[in-house]
Amino acid sequence: MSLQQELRIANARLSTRRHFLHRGSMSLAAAAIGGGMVGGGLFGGQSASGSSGRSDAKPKPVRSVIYLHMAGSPPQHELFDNKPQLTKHHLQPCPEAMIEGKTFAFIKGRPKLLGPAFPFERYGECGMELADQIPHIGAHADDLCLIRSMHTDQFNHAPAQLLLHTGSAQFGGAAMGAWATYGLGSENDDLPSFMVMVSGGKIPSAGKSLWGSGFLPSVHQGVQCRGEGEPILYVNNPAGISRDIRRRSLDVLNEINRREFDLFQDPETLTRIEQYELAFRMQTSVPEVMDISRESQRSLDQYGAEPGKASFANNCLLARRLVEQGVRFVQLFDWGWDIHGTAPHDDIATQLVKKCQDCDRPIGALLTDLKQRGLLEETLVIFGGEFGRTPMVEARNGTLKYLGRDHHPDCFSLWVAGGPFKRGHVHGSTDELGYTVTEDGVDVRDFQATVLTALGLDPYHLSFPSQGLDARLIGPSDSPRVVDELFV
Amino acid sequence: MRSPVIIGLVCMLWGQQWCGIEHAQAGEIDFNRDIRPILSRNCIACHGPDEEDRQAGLRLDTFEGATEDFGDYAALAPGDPDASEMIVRITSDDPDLQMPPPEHADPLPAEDLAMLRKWIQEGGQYAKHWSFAPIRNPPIPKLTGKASVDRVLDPIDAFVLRRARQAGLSPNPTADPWRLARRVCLDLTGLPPGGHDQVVRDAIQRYLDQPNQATLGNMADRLMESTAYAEHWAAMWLDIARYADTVGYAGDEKRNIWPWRDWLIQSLGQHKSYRELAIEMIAGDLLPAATLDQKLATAFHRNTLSNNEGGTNDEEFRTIAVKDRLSTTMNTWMGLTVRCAECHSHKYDPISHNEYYQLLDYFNQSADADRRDESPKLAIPIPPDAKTLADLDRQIVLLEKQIGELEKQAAGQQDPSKGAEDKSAERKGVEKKSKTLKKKLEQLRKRRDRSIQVPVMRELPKDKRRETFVMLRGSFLSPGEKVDAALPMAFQWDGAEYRKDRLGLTQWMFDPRNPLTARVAVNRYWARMMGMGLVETEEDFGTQGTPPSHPDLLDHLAHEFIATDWNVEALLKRIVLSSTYQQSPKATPRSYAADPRNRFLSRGPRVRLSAEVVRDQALAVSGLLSRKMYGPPVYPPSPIKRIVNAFTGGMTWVESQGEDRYRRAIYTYMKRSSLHPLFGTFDMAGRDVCNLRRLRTNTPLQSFMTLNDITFIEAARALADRMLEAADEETMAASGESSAASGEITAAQDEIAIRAGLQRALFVAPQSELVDALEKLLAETEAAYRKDPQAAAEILGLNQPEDAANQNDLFKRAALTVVSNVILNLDPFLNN
Repeated sequence: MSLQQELRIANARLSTRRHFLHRGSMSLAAAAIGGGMVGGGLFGGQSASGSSGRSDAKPKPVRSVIYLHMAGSPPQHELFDNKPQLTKHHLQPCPEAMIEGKTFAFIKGRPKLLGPAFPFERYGECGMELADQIPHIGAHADDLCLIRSMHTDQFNHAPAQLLLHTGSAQFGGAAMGAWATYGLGSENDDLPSFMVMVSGGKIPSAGKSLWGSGFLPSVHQGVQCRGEGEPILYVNNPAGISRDIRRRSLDVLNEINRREFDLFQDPETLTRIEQYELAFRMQTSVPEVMDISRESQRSLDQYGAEPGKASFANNCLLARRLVEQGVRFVQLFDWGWDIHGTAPHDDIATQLVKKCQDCDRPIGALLTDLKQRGLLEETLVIFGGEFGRTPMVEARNGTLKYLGRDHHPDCFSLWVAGGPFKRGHVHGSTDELGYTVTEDGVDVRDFQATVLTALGLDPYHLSFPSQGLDARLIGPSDSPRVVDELFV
Repeated sequence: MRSPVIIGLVCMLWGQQWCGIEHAQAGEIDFNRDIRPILSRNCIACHGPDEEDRQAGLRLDTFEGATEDFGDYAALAPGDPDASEMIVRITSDDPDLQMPPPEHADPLPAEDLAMLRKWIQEGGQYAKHWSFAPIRNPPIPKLTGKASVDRVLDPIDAFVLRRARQAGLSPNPTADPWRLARRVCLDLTGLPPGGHDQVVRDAIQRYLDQPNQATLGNMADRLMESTAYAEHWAAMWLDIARYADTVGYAGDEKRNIWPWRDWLIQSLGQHKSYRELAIEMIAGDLLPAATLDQKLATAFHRNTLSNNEGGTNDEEFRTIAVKDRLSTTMNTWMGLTVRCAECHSHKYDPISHNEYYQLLDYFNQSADADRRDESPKLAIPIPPDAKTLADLDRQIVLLEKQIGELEKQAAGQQDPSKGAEDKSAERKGVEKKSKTLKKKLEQLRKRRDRSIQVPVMRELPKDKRRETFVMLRGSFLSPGEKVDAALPMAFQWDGAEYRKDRLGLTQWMFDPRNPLTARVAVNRYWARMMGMGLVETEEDFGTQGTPPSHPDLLDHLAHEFIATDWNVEALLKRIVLSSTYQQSPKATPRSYAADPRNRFLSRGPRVRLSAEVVRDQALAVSGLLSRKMYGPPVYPPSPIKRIVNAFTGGMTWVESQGEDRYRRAIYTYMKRSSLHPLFGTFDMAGRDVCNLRRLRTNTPLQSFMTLNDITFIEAARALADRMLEAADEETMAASGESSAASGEITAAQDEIAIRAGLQRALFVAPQSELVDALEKLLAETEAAYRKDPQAAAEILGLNQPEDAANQNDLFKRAALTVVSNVILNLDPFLNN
C-alpha cells in the first residue's frame, strides 16, 4: 500500500468515526462524542481525555468494573446485617406497625419474625460482622466497603433488576455497562468492552434487557459469553472452514470491498472492512481469553474452577482474565438466590448454604487474585442483589417446614471493593429488626451516580436523547447524589 | 435538570457543520432557524413552559414572557439590546448574575451573542416553532439553465436542486439502471429483483431494455402491487406497533396476536390510505358498524406489555400500558414526545402536565386491565388452507348425509308391527351409531371453523367509565386533579367538534389543519427511501428535534400528501421518479468533504439493508426463500436453542422444518425477551416500546452472523448449487452434454459459475476484476479441499465425503460454497 493510500484511508477512517457518531447519536449527543465526552466508537478506540463531561468529583477513576449480581436477592439478615433482636424474637409475630399499609409479594396476614439461620462472625482488623457461611469473603473484610442501607422502590425481580442496572424499572433503558463503554470506550481493540456471563442455570428475570444498549447505539450492548459451547455466538468458523480458508476468503472480500470503496467512497465500507478484520482477530482473542485451561492448577483450585463446566467459579476467574485484558465492564449474574421457603430446594437451611458454598470461595479468590496482580486499585468489584428480603418469614403455604423470606425494597446490603472505595468500612444502618434504613440511606440511583463517578464519569451529564428526554442512567431527576462518604 | 445544558453546548458544535452554510446565505434573522436553537439549548430548561421548575418566574419561550415588566427592567426590550436584562446577564462577569449560571454551562459563544443582539435590535419577534405552524403550499422553485431544468423530473428535484446549488454542490448523474433497479426493488419490497414473480420481473426487464420514466414508473407500480411490498412495509409498522408474539416482562409468555400482523399485511396490500390505516388501528372498534377486521385492527394497541408475575399490581401495569398507548400514538403520528409531561409540564414543548392527562383520558376508557387472560379478546376465524378446507367440507357433507339417513331410519322404527323389545335393541344400536357420527361431525366442524382469541381494544360502557386524574410526579398512587378528555392547546384550535374518544382523537390528528401529522408521515417515507429524514429526528418534531434540512420540500410533500388523500403509493412513486432518488450514490473526496452526511442530497442514497432484508435477500438470491404468507409465527434456525424465563419455565426453540425454515423474516417468532440473534445483531430494536427509527451500526458481531450463521451457510450452499446449475446449463447449450455427467468442470465453467453467482447477488453484470479475484479463491480453496475431503464434506453439511450425491463435484461444490459465502458478505450485497 502506498503512503498516499494509507493517508487517505486514515483520513477516511477519521471521518468514518465522525460519521458514525453523528448518525448513531440522534443528532445532539453527537458532538458530545466528537467533542471528547465519549471515547470509544466501535469496540476499539481509547477514550478521549480532558472532556467537559468528566466529573469534577475527585476520586482517581477506576478502569474496570466487575459486577457480581446475585439474581433473586440474597437475604441480608443471614449474610450482612446481624440483628440480635431478630434472634431474640425468632418466630414471634411481627409488630402490627410493620405490616400496616404495606404490600408484599407473597406475605399475607401477620407474619412471624425470622432470626438469622446462621451465626455471624467478626472478620478482619476492622471487625466487620458477616455470616460464618462466607469465610472467604470475610477474609477480605478489610478490603470491603459494606453498605447496609441500600434501598429501592421496586419489589418484583424484573423491575428491580432493571432499575438497578438500566436506571428505569421498565424495559428499554441502557445498562450500566453500556453507559460505561459509551462514556469511556474500550481499552482492547480485540475484545468487546462490555461482557456478560450468567451462572446458576437460568438468566435473571429481566433477561437480556439487563445488558442491552436500550436507546444507545447497539455497539454498546453487553456481549454475552456463554459458559458452554461457543463463548460468543458464531465466533467459530462453521465445520469445514479452516482458519486458512477464512483468511483467504477475507482477503478476497476485503479486496472487492476496497474496490467498492474506490467506486462510491462510502466510509461505511471502510468501517466494514475493519470490522471483518476485528472479527477475525476476535476469533482467536475471545476463545483465548475464555479458555481457563491456560490457568495454573493452583489458580483453578483457588477459584474452584473447572475448565469446560459452566459455573460461577469459572465466571469469576474469567472476569479477572477479561479485566486484565482491558475489558471495561464485566457483568456476572448468578441465579438461585430468591429463597422464599416454599419447598426443599427453596429453603434457607439448604439452598442458601449451597449458594454460599458455590460463590464464597470464588469471590474470595477473585479479590485475592486482583489484589496480588495490583488490579484492585483500578477495578471495582460490586456484590449485591436487586432488593432486600423481609425480616419476617414468608410461610407462603402456612407452614414453617421450610424457611424463607419475602421481597423487601426498603433496605438491603451491598458491598464494593477496590478503587477509591473505603476499605474495611461499613456505611449506613437499619433499625433493630433490619426493616427500614435508619441512617445514611443509599438509593439505587445514588449508587449508580457513585459508581459512574468512580469510573470518572459525570452521572449528571452522561446522557443520550431518547423519547424526548435526555435519558441518563440516574433518571430524569437531579436528586440522586454521589455518596462521597464511600470514597477514601 | 442539568443534562440539557451540556447537550446544548454540544449542539452548537454540531450545528456549525451545515447550519453555518444556511447562515451565510441568509440576510435577515429567522427566529426558528437562528434564535430558537440558542434559547432552547441555553435558557429554556429553566425559563420554559414548565411552570413548576421555572426560575425567577421568567419564561423566555414566548414574547409575552420575555418582555414581562419586572419593575424597572425586562429580559427583552425590543429594539434595545443594551436595555435587555438577558443581554446584561449573559455578558456579566459577576458569577452571581451571569447567565447561564457558570456552574451549569459555559458562557454563550460570541456568535450566538451577536445573533441575539441583532435579533433584539430588529425587534425581538418570536415565531411559532416551525412544526406547530400550519403546513404551507410553497411555490415550486423556478430553476434556470437547461442542465437544471432537465434534472427536474418531479417538483421534489426543484426544491433539492435549489438547496444544493446554494451550498455550491452539483447533483450526481443518474445511477446505472441495473443498480437502480436493484435499489428500487429492495427499497420498495425488501426483495432483490430475482426474488419476484414473472410479472414484476418482466416490468424490470422492460425498464432495463428502455430505461425511462415510464418504464421505471411501471416497474414501481408492479412492485407495489406485489405481496412482497406489503410484507416489507409491515416490518416498519411492526417496529412502530412494538409487535411481539409474547407479552413481555419477566414471564414473557406467548401471546396469540399474529392475526393482527396478517391484518396489517393484508391492509398494506390493499393500499389502504395512511389515514384509513391509522383510524382503524387506533379506533377501528368505534367506527359505525365496525367490521370484524376493523375491530381486529385495534390489536395494534394491545401489543403493550402484560405483567403476570405474582404479587404485581394490575392497576400499576394497566397504567403503564395506557401511557404507552398515548405515547405511541402521539409519537407515531404527530412526532411528539409526550413522556416528559407524565411527571411535569414539558420542559420544551407546549404540553402541560394537565394536558397530558387530558389526552390520557382518551386511552383510559378501554376495558383491558393487565389481566392474566388479556381480556377483552375477539374470536378471529382462522380457516385451514384451501386443500384441507375442501377435504373437511367434503367429509362434513358426507357425515351430515349419513346422520340424516340414520335419523330417517330411526323414524322408520316407529313401525308398530315390530315387537317392543326388538325395536328397543335396534333403536339403541342406531342411536349409538348416530351419536358417534355426531361427535365426529362436531370435531370436523371445529377444525373447519377454528378461531383464535386475539386481544383487542374495547370501550367501557358509559356507566363504567374510569375517572382520569392527574398523577403527581407520574405516579398512579398519587392522584391529583380530575380531568376529562381534551386536546392540547398548542395548535390554537381546540378540536371541540370532535368526539371525546379515540375516534375523535384520530379525526383531530387527521384534520388538514393539524400541522404535524402529514409532515411526520411524509418524512418517515422519505427517510425509508432516502436513508435519512428531511427531519433527521423522525421521532421528534418538537423544539428539541432537528429542524428540517428542506422545510419547503417537507411542506410541499405534506400538502400534496393530504391532497392525494394520504396516498402512500403515490408518494413513494413520486420519490422513485425523482432525479434526486435516482442519482448515483457515488461520492468524491470533494463532495464528501463538503457534505459528509449528504444533507443536501447531491448524491443518491446508499444504506445498509435492514435486519429483515439482510436475511431475506440472502435466501432469495440463493433460491431458498419461501413465499408462503401469513399464519402462526415460524422458527427458523437459531443458535439459541433454549430460552429460559423466570417463573414461566421458558421455551425450547424447535426449528421449523421444510419451507417454514425459509419464510420472510417478519414471520419469525418474536420473543420479546430474546430477539432472534440475527435480527438483534443487525439493529432491530427491542419491541418493548414503539420504535420509529433504527440506528444503523457496523460491528464485528454482524460479520460473525453473515459469515457463520447457519442460515447464511445454507444460503451459501444453495447459491453454490445455483452457480453450478448455471454453468451446466451453459455447457448443455453449447455442447449438448451435461458437465455433471462428464465429471469435468473446466476453467471456463468456473468463470460462468462465478459470474452467475455475482449476478444473482448483485444484479449488475460483474466486473472482470471481481470474477478474477473469486476465481483465484475458488482454485485455492478447491485445492485445499482436495487435501482434506472431510472438510469438504462438512462445509456441505455432510458427515463424510462418501455421503455426497455426486462424488465428481464434491470439491468444486465445497469451494463454491466458500465463494458464495464471500459473495453473501460483500459490501455491495449488504447495501441497497
